[in-house]
Amino acid sequence: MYNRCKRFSIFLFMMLMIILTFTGCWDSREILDYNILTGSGFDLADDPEQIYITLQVANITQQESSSNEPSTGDNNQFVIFNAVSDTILKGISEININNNHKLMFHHNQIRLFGIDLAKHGVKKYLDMLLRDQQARLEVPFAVVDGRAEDLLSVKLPTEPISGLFLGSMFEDLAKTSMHYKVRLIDFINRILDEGAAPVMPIIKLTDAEEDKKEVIMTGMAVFNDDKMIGQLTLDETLGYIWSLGNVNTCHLEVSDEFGKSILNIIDLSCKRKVTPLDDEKVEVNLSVDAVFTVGELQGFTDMKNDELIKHLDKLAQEQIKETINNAFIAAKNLEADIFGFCTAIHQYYPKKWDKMKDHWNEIFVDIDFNVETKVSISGTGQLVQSLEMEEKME
Amino acid sequence: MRIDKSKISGTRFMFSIAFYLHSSALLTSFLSGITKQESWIPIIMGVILCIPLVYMYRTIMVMFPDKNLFQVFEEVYGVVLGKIISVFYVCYFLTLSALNVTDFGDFIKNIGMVETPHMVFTICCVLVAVWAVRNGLKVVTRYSSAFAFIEFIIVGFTLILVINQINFNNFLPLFTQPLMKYIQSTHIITMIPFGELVVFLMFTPCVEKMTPKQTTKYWYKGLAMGAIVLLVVVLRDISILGNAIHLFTLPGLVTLRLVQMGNVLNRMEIIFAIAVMMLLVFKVTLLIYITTIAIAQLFNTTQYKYLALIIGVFVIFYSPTLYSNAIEHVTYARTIEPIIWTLFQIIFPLLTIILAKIRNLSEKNKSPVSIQEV
Repeated sequence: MYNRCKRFSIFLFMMLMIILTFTGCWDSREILDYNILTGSGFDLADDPEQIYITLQVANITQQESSSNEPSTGDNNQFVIFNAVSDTILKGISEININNNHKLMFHHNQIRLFGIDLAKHGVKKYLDMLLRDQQARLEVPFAVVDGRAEDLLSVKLPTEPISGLFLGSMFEDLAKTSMHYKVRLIDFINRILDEGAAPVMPIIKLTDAEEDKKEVIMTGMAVFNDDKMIGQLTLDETLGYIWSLGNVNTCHLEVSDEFGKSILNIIDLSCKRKVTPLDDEKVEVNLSVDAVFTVGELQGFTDMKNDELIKHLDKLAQEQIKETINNAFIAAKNLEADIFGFCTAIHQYYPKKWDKMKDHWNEIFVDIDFNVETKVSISGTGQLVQSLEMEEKME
Repeated sequence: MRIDKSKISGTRFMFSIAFYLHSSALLTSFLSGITKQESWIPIIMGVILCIPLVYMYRTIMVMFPDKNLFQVFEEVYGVVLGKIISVFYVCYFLTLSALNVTDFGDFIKNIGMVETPHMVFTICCVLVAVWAVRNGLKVVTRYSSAFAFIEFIIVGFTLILVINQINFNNFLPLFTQPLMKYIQSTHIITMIPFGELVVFLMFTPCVEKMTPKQTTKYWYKGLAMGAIVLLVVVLRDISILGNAIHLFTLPGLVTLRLVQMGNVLNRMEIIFAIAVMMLLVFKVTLLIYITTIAIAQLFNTTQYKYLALIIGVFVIFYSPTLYSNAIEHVTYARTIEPIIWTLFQIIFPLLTIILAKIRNLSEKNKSPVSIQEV
């Protein structure tokens, strides 16, 4: 009897201990005590050694109440916090001190750099983004043509919180090609590769009046180490993306004097072969293999079906070749190896690379660059031939 | 004299070895900082070096199937010298337990509970461990086979999750680093964790009678199962993180953070966290059990149950004194630790075998059923 009593009291004591100690109370926080970050932006401050931090925080309490009350449309669904500081964490703690909620970084959708900061160099600010437990490596990066603050504080017509908009925008682009979405780890990998030039998508706000502004992507920002040195246009970006292969859904516009057609890229793969000819000369062969369907046709009324397919085939090949070549020329003008050819040499010919790495930029500029294309058109959509062709034949 | 009366089967012994090695998948940053994207090379070399090492442990087990390591020492070196060596080993076991307890605390701090004091995690972990130890080896190793399977499944599953991001070019270039780096990291991987298998010699008498052939089989199967997981984990991390792998303290965690399969299967690092916690609690339990048995053996007592809690408390307070931060830990693990460990994991066992052979002490020479060869 005594034994059972003793056992029972020990059991009770242990239960109590478990209840008291296993709750993890130090780190426990209610969700409403958090400011959930949806986007962060970094601009150059007036003093070039300092940065201007903009944090976009979703306004949870607002959204909660708006489900009951009719929305006035005027409500702010997000709040913007600003700080000027020489390090990111100092700025963030400044914001935290002057605030009743703590910032939570887990759900940050996008990180933006203002174009001035990008030109000034971003490497020293990446440390915190890598080190902090809450900061995540898969968050996409982008450069803003203008100030990141403006983009984060704008209210877009389709999605009031621009951070969420940008997050899903890059998510969609990543379905076309994963190289549109530049994550922190991709950027770091490029920086660590000697000779390779990191890239980041560049976006800007249209010059419309307030509340009608939209976000457009204007190309890719090209970096040398961590400093932005130039930018690719949208067409050149397309060439860059194609040259990396693994493109799924994308459009290709071909036209000549007979007509115009939009082809859907179903699958585009690109094999690259980088061969150093000697210590000064490198040859690059890209072989693109693409599968298309016909998306839209205008004109081509004089051609028969099989002729047309062959004709489109030829046009598509030329178009791909030209687009990729244009991207290469743009990279050459910037003296930036955005394609990562140097990585290929470093990986497959490490001994040659040791001799080349000191003057890689000169070697890159006169690379022998060849593109071969193989195209097949696998379908014509719901139509066999276009309306215009039908009329002509009759 | 047998301290712990419980017996475990050979299969369970094998899974315990495998599981013990799995738990070191957390510590790959010791390697990745040195050999970077080629860290899988030292692992393979380590496994090859381990084959004679494990044969050595297996030989001790076969020569003295009814004695634990300390009894073997007393038999081979005599009581006084044997006890002195045993004291060193007790220090080694204690340090090993304390290191793993600290790893456990650091890990949880690293994955999210930043503000909670270190002590809370270590106390929770050690309490569970002590509870298991008091119930004997059977309880300590009971879940090893189930957990080893779970670990296999988790590693396989995570491999599928990251399959869309794997880039095989990340393994290149090969053999570009100075030879010394390969030697250093091979030494590290051979000592931590493969050499640590020496702790399993402490419970030889608790394993059911095995023929030498079976002993060999269980040791090597356990080693193979553990090494495969270790290798796969490192290969996975390299193929995902590429040239940035040396930046991170927990490459496995970072890799799983990158998982993105649609909008549903992402942020899967919690799987890794669960696996690691399971592994580390098991490892700590096993090590505290071994320390307890070792101390009981040192003082010739069978009342090890009363010792367990004291040792647990000692480990809790010993662990924060080992090093003050993660950088110190990594530096220590890369430079001093493997060299000190060599003493306990290679030199003493080897010396013991040689002396035992010279003095012809093998137990089976005395027993009438000595047909099988060593």
